[in-house]
Amino acid sequence: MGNGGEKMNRREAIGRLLGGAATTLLVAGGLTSCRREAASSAPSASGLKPGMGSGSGGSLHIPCTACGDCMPCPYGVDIMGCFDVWNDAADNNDLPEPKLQASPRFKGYARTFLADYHNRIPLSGRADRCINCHKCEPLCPQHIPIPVFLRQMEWVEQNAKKHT
Amino acid sequence: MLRNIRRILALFVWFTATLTLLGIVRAAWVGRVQLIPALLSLNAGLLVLLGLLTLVFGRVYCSVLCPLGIFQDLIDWLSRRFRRKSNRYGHPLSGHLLRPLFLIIGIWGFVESIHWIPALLDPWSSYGRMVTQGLYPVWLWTKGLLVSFNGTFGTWFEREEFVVQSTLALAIAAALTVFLVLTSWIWGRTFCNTVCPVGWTLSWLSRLSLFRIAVDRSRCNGCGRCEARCKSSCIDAAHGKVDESRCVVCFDCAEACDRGAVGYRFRYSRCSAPSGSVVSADESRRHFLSVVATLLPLPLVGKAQEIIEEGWLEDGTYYRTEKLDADSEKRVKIYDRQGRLVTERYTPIMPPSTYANFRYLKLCTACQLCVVHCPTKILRPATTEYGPAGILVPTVNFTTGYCDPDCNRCAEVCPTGAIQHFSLARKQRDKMGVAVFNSRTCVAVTDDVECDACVRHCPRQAITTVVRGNRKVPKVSANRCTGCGACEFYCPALPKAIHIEGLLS
Repeated sequence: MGNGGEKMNRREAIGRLLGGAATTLLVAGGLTSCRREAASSAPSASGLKPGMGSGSGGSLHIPCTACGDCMPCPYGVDIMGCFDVWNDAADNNDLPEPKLQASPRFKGYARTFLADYHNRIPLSGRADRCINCHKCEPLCPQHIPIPVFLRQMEWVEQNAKKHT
Repeated sequence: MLRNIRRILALFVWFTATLTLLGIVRAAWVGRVQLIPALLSLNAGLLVLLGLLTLVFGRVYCSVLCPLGIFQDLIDWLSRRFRRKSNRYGHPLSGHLLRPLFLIIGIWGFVESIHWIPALLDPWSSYGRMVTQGLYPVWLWTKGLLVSFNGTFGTWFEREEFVVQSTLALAIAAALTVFLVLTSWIWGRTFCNTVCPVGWTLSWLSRLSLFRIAVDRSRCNGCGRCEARCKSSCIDAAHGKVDESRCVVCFDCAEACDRGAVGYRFRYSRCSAPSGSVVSADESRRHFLSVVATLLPLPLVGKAQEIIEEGWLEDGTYYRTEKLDADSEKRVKIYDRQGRLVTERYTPIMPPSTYANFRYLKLCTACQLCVVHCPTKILRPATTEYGPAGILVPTVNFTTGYCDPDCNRCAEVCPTGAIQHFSLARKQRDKMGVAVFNSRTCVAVTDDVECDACVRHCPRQAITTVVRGNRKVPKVSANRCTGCGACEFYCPALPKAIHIEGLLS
């Protein structure tokens, strides 16, 4: 995003703090499972399914800990990377949600999101390459419905493309 | 004064053309006002306008509108700054035999559908290839460098990877660039007066132009500065004559003369010197005829494509089926970075709204403007896909995306009308190919998963799922399919289980 240069992967950050990949996974996994609350699968007002984390009801975060258990995707989707892009946009509150379409800020959000997404994830790893085979779902310790979120990300991308 | 106006206009046109060819701005008019694109798109009004312009002012087209000419002027300007020689250009009788030769070769290539011959000679598309093959990668690398240098740039640009689309196009463009830089550094506008068919055509009109550069003998002391300065080598200072057929009206000579003897004068005013082409029209006509005589047997040598069938359909449309060489082989093969086969097809795919290969291959001069402006970057210059007649003509491949149903950018920028302009409503139903399913590599069969990538992404809902055995496989409705390539792009199989076949006969 705006400060993409300094931004660190969440996993990296914790890893650097504690020094050691194994602890990282454990701690990172534990951290978010503590935060797992307000899980809801009902679509919110924006039409987007809210993620399960971070307490506040309207948050669009995806509770991915970047543990990498789902990877590698047999069809090449960079699942962690995609979710990282999404969560960064949600962190900065500039996710181009379709409900903001009428807003004058939407174009800026969409452009930032698209540029960040396209610069960070190569063509073959983007969310739209998901073929819905559901092989990743049982592997996720967070029980994230990965294909659903990938589909949602694809939809938001298409919508942002159409309106910039 | 006149010279400065000329320079400002020329710089404006040159920058617009270059930025357009880099895909930074979209000023399609720069391509449309060029002579050969106007000729090919049958833009009669513009042709008359260009003719009148030349009849009144001389070959200003060459020094103001033609980006290749302006490029040579810039090289000439650089060469003058780096080596200050007073006596630069001589006054040779440059290329009076070669000039009609190249034009006739070009027309012969056009008539015989050996497309790349006129495309190589056209100055606009030559410049287009130079920029898109040489400067465009540099621009993309700069963008990528900026993005990785500082994240802030990432919000402005999207990093795009440049792969060499066609080594042949790169080689041709590089050869031309080297040739042009060398000739214009040493001899000035040699290309315009020996090779360029546009320059030769305009020279016939500029011989009669109302205003022209003329030497006033009463003030001239024969110092020869104008002759040395003239990059078209058209002034004979000893006799005070100007060859108007070669003069591109750049006013450099008027600036070089400190006695005010060289000026831009009305042809029929009393004070101007008697008109005198250095080579008489009679002599050049003789050359012309001799060249025509040598070239006459050429059209019999070989046809690129054999016509199988042609005629009129009941609804009044003309059709023509041409046999392409190596018809039975898979002529398009696309490999990925690791060298794995991605797609192979029998027939190459043409850009949308091109309809008939004989028309498209003939009209396209391969300036690569559509290749740069395509938002999903699915166009790239062909090497052998269209056979020997269609080298460098853009063809479609779906490795980087698919043809967006809501986009007609290629038709908007095409200067020659090879890609005819079409409305977005027509884009929804226009066919550019048809999808073909191959169950042997489909992941539903090989990996035993439920895959709906092609079905879900088809913008026309032309693909449905059918149960075959115990597996769900896609089925294409050829009537609905427009050949946009979404299914091919999103197909996870390698090689692609569903691919588009072009509509070439």
